[in-house]
Amino acid sequence: MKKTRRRYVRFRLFQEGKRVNEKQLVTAIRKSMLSLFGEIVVGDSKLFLTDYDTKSGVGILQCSAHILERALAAASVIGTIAGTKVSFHPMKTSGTIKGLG
Amino acid sequence: MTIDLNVRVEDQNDLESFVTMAKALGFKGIVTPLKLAKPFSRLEDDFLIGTRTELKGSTLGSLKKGIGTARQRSALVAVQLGKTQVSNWAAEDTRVDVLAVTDISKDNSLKVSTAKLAAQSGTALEIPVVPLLETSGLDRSKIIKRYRECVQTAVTAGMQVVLTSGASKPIQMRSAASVQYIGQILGMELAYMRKTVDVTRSMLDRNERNLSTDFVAPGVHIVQSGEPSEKD
Repeated sequence: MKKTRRRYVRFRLFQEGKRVNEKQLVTAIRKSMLSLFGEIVVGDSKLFLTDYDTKSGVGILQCSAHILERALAAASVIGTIAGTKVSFHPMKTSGTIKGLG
Repeated sequence: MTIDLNVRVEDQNDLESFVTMAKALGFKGIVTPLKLAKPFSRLEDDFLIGTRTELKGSTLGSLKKGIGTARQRSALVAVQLGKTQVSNWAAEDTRVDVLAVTDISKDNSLKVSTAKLAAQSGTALEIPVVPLLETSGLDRSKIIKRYRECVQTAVTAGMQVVLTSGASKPIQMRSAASVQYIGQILGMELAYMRKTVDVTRSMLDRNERNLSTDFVAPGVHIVQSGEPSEKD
């Protein structure tokens, strides 16, 4: 089986209200992707949170390289997660975690 | 230099929170409909705050009446995309900076003729992102459809498209990087979206130059002033 290339994105989630946890964030991104691009894209996405600090909102998101732009578009249009108003800000993208610095 | 051209600050007291959020998102300036003393003001760290005037009026006459004053007092002049007659006038008038797609409930689509006129005069199409954040499912798909149609017409005709946040709360603001990705949903390529940053900057630079006291007419500026010397 061909190995899929991954991308790692360092991001910051600005939050207004109760803190959003890791599970809520990934679910919200997947739901947004499902709504915008459909089941096949979500299935191929291999979307995970590698690292996430609920307090600062800074984290690392990993996904398949070929759906990176769609994943970030889906995350960017999320306005509310579990009643908390949010703003997703992608800071840096790299092919390795080390590359994020 | 990334600038958000449509930040809906309602009250002077809220300005600071919007500026803080804009800085956190990496913006170098915002343009707001809030009434300020000067069209262009800069904070100590060179952060730009520009004023925006939105010309509203059902008739062409009322809009034409207000454009002169609005131009002299604003960093950016916007006209809402509406009736063909009004939109065509705004697209053709070089004093209007952007045609804004604001009322998504009505079927005010961008006509090819309007887009061609706008492409010639340098008027850009402004699309606010906030309606996409506040809706989901079928409601959002209707907005996306309308936005995509407008973008396609504009890009085909050579009219520039700019995405703005349209945020009425700081948390509704999106970073330039996020806006680029949202632009892809609307049918714009990343390279095109990167170009819009330069367009925004040159639009504001031009307006600032034209509003300066040294400006006489397009192409005519006062280079040096003072008392005539005795030889003269």
